[in-house]
Amino acid sequence: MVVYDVAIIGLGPAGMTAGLFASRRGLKTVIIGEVPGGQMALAHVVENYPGVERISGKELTEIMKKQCEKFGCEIVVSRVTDLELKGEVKKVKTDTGEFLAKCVILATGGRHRKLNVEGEDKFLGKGVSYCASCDGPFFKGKKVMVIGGSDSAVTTALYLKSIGCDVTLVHRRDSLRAEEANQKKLFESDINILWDSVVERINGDEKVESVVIKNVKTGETREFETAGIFIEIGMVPTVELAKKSGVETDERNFIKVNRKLETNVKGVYAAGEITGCIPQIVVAAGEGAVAATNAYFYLKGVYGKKTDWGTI
Amino acid sequence: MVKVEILKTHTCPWCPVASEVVKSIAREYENVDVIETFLETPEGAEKAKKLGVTSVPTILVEGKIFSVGVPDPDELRKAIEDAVVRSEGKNKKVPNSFHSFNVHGKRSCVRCSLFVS
Repeated sequence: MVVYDVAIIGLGPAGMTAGLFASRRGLKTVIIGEVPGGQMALAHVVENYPGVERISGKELTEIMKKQCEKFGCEIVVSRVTDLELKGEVKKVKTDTGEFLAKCVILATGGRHRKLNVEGEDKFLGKGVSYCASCDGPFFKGKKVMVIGGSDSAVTTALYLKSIGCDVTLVHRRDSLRAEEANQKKLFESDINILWDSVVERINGDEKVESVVIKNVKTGETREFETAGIFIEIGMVPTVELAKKSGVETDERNFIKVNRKLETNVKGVYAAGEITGCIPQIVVAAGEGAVAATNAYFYLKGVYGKKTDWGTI
Repeated sequence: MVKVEILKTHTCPWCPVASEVVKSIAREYENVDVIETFLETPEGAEKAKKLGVTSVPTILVEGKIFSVGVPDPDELRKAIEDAVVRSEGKNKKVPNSFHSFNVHGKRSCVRCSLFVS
């Protein structure tokens, strides 16, 4: 059975950049993940990836994928079902087979956080959505609400507005977390904003018809007619398999790493949102490069050795 | 012939995953026809409107909505086998020794399982 030098779990920007750097170093590399691009693929527009003025998440995914394949990186689209990370050779079990590797880089990103309100599960796919790129066009000309205050929430609101939806942004505080450049576009649009507001309940018969919103400062509740609700309230790290295999996490449930992005398990690194880094594509990509480079040094046994450039 | 249809769009990143799951399951049977319908076409848009579809990917089995999101492989197998029994009176399942999804008896819808509290 083939033993890879590096197996990377996750096909987002962290995973693909790690794959690029590892394969350019001549390491036999495989990236395993379910969805090419991960969360990046959901972004309808990316304007803050350095060197690229404006691009869709899907296009950037394709470019990154081709770039790492160009240097010999293998990409396997499959679901990872189990990890055995202790020992010199790690095992990655997937729906389509098993992979052995001397090093593993965990880059599994996160999953959408739910509101946990009544009606959210009932109306999933019937007005409740976590993917504007997927479902936005169904709501052209209709009233929709976007829940959240992040860049994802603001860009989702702007995108839905641009395709003809009647958009209201609902945010639990009185200020947004989004970049000022995105906030400026939002404030210059005629998107209505409900500040200090949270969703209490989603109502409807066969599909979403209205939502009950509560003002967290006054306690007042009000029902708003709406056809769709797009939920963008952040991510939860995907760490279950890693934890099960002995990788430690911190108090926020992100994987604990040092400056080399090493975890507590020898030969196992982590990169991207799973480490709790700032949730931006360029940051995840940067961590992918750092993790792959350190994996290379580990495999070559050069840690602690003095070089003309200092001690690695 | 049992018809399984995937309603999808070109911008939906989960749709290729759903297609792969459906095609993989369909290969286990000898009389399942898989169709991919893009909703950006007039026929696709009309179909979505008629069925009240508001999310992609949506999977239809014999013209009726089976699931929204990437389907659970075991649940899809059951829906196909039920449709085969209804249409032909006996189970024509052909086991595939290279069965590609081992779901350990758990629900494994990718889109739904991505969302947690």
